[in-house]
Parts: sequence; C-alpha cells; structure tokens
Amino acid sequence: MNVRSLFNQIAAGILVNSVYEMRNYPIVLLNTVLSPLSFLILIVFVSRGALIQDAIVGGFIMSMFSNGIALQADLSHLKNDFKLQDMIVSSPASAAAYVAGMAMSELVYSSPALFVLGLLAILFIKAGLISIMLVLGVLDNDVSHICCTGLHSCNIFKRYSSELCFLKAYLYYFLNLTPCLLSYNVDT
Amino acid sequence: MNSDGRLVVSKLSKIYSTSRGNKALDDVNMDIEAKGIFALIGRNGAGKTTLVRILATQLAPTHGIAQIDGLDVMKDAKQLRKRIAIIPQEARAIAWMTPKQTVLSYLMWRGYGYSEAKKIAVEALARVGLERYMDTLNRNLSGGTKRKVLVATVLASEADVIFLDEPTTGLDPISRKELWNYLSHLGKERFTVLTTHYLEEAEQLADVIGVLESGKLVGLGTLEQLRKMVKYQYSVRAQNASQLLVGANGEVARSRDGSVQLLTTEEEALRLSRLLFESGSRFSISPVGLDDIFFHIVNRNDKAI
Repeated sequence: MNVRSLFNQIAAGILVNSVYEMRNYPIVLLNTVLSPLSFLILIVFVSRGALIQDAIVGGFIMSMFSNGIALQADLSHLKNDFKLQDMIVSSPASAAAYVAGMAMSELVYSSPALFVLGLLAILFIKAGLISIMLVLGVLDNDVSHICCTGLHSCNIFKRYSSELCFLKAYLYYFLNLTPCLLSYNVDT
Repeated sequence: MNSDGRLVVSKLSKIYSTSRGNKALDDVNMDIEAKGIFALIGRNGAGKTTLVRILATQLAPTHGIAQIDGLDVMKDAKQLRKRIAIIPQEARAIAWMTPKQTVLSYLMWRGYGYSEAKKIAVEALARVGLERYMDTLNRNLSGGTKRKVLVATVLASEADVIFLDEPTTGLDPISRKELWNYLSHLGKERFTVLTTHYLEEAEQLADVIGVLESGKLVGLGTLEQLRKMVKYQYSVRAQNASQLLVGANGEVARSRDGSVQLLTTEEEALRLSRLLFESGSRFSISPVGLDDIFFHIVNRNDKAI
C-alpha cells in the first residue's frame, strides 16, 4: 500500500466521523465546547477566578477524555447500526488505517473546544516549559487513550494497547504532580 | 486445484459454538463460474450470511477452503480485498451524510484521492438515478433510495466481485423491482453474490442458484437444473376444485382457502386443464417455479432429517 492510499484511508475516517457531521449539523460545533466550558466556568466561579489555570487544564482533560469515550461509542455505532466496519473489512483499507482515521476524527471533532481552551490558555496561563509539557502530556495521554481504545481491535496492538495506555496515564500523573510553581506561574 | 475465474468451496464448515454443536455451515462444496449473479436462498438461519461473510474475508471457516478466482479467502485475504466489495445485511447509509459523501468516503477508504473519488461518486449516483438526491442528507431519503445509495457505493468501486446480503429486504415491491434493474446491470459487469429470502428475486436475477438448508447446500445450479430436481415439471392451481386435484396423479404442494396447488406431469396437467375447464373452475397452469422447487427441496431435506 502506498503512502497516498494510506493518507486517503485515514482522511476518509476523519471525513465520515467528524467533518461531514460538523458540516451538515453545525450545531455540534457548539455542543463540543459546552461540556468543557461549563466545567471551566463552574471552577472559575467557585474559586472566584483563582483557579482559572487549573480550570483550563481541566477543560482540556475533560474535552479529550470525552473524546476517548466518544470514540468507543462511535466505533460501536458505525459497526452495529450502519455495518460500516464490515464494509471496510472487505476492502483494501487496513484495520490500523481505519482506526487511526477514527481516532483522529475525534481530535477534529473536539477542535472547537481545543481552540477556545487554547485561546484561554494563551490569555490566562503564562506558559513555562513545564506547563507546555503538562498540556502536551495531557493531550498526548488522551490521544494515546483514544488510539489505544481503537487499536485494541487490531491484532498487532491488542497485546500491548492496555499496557501502553497504563504507562501513558503514569506520565500524565507524574507531570500533574510537579510543583505548581514549576508548572505555571500563578499570580498571587 | 485450478480455480481461476471460478468460485470454489470445498468441505467448508463453520461452527460458532462447539459446546452447542451449532454448525452454521456443514461440509459445503461448490464449484461455479465466477460470472453473472449467484443467488443463495434459504430459510432464516440456513447459513447464507455465514457463507457470504467467509467469502468476503470477514469470518474464518472452521474447516475447509474457499477460493475466488484462485485467491484463497484466508491465505490471500489482502489481495482478495482489493477485488471485493460488500453490502452487509441490514447495512444503512450513514444518517448524517449525503449520498455523495457516502460514496466518496467509501472510495477514499479503497485508496482513491478526494478529487477522483468525488468524480466517480457523482457518476455512480447518476447511474442509479440519484442525481437529484446527491446532496440531500441520507436521513431524509426513503428506504429504497437509501438502499440505492449503498448499491451506488459498491458500483462506484473497482471491485469485480460484489457481495449483497439481502439487499432488498424490507423494501416495498416497487422499490424492490427498481433495485432489481440496477442489480441486473451490476451482474452483467461483475460477479455478484446475492442472498435473498425472496425466491422471485433469485428467479428473476440469478444465473446460478444455491439452496442452503441447515448449513448444507442442498441444491445448486441454474433454474432449469434445479427444476430437474423436482419429479413434476408443471404446477396446476385451481379454486374450488380440490376433489379433482387431490385425486389426480401428482403431489399436492399447498392447500389453503379452497385453493389447491398440484405439482404434476405435462400429460396430467393437460388432462386436468380439460376437466377444470369443463367444470367451470378458475385455474392456472405454469412450469414449476423456484418457489415450488424450494419447498420441494427443503421438505425433502426435512423428511431426510
């Protein structure tokens, strides 16, 4: 299989599971932002603005974690209700390309939320190296969670996907436990 | 074994649960030309979908081999997948997409670039008469139109072997006949394996028909060849003349609401037609159809069990 075919197969997953839905039902753009923002607003109100940085990072986590869960639901929905997976199995598309496309589609689907949260992060978090690593760690952990969820269905990854996910979780918690002052600058 | 240009199945079995001994397929053998339309008929649970899923490389058989044009469904699955396409049983067009987006994305999964896929998708949809609905959301289309979208999807692909698992189930008679036209064209271009509950559909479309019963292939051949499996070649149906038909030489196939169907020989059919005409009964005489053949084969198999 050449690289162009692989790219097209991944792009097909992104189109089907996110782009077309966002284009045909623009309301979902708003829906993806609602959950993390409601969480963020609640934390900011309760802490009277003091925990806005934590709320933004929490928003990132919430948004990405929701997408990991959504991937499981989407894969199941497309397989059982539309029989899409059966059509793809009997085609030249590889299992890895199908799942990679689906995993990436979740990232595209959450892009409005990531954009808003990213904007808030630029405004309210004075980024240091550790804080950038923290955010990247969160994203990386959640992306790997999404991918592992999907790749579990591929034989080659089946054996190691859970372990990979487990290790990624520790990477995140390690970063999360770094002292606050190293993570980001809190105005006190 | 040289199976180029042929569909060869040898000693194929599939057991889903060994503890229950549930044999979905039981020692199925066939060797047919991979050309035209091959219809698999049978009751619910006869093994039609299992056989199609094995041939479409979705399911591994428990025993036996299956080859399409020399490619083994297990060993050469990767090569075979470049040449096959399937519409699974109960497949639906994705609700939040349009027909154009549905066909386009499927082509991209088959490795086509976006622009090329878009062009082919438009052409394929036009071929099944869906130009007007190309940009309408699938959820707003009728059941028949949604099914046409799926047919356009496999039609657009480069696959030369197409599997259609009960493609017309649940459609109204008019939509079903519309779809038959497209399937008939499809069968002229590519080898199409079709499963169906509608015997009329198999009779109208298929070049070769396979009859599955309890996982066994109990009949295989053209309609003419299957007709020869039945002792009697003619079917006589009559209203309010049960005494005349029941006493005649032949086999009473069905009897309901004063209407009797008798399978009989040509000579006896001719004799009965005269008698029925003289008695003023309403009747019809026709060569035995797939319905009659199916009931005959399945009943014979039931008695053997």
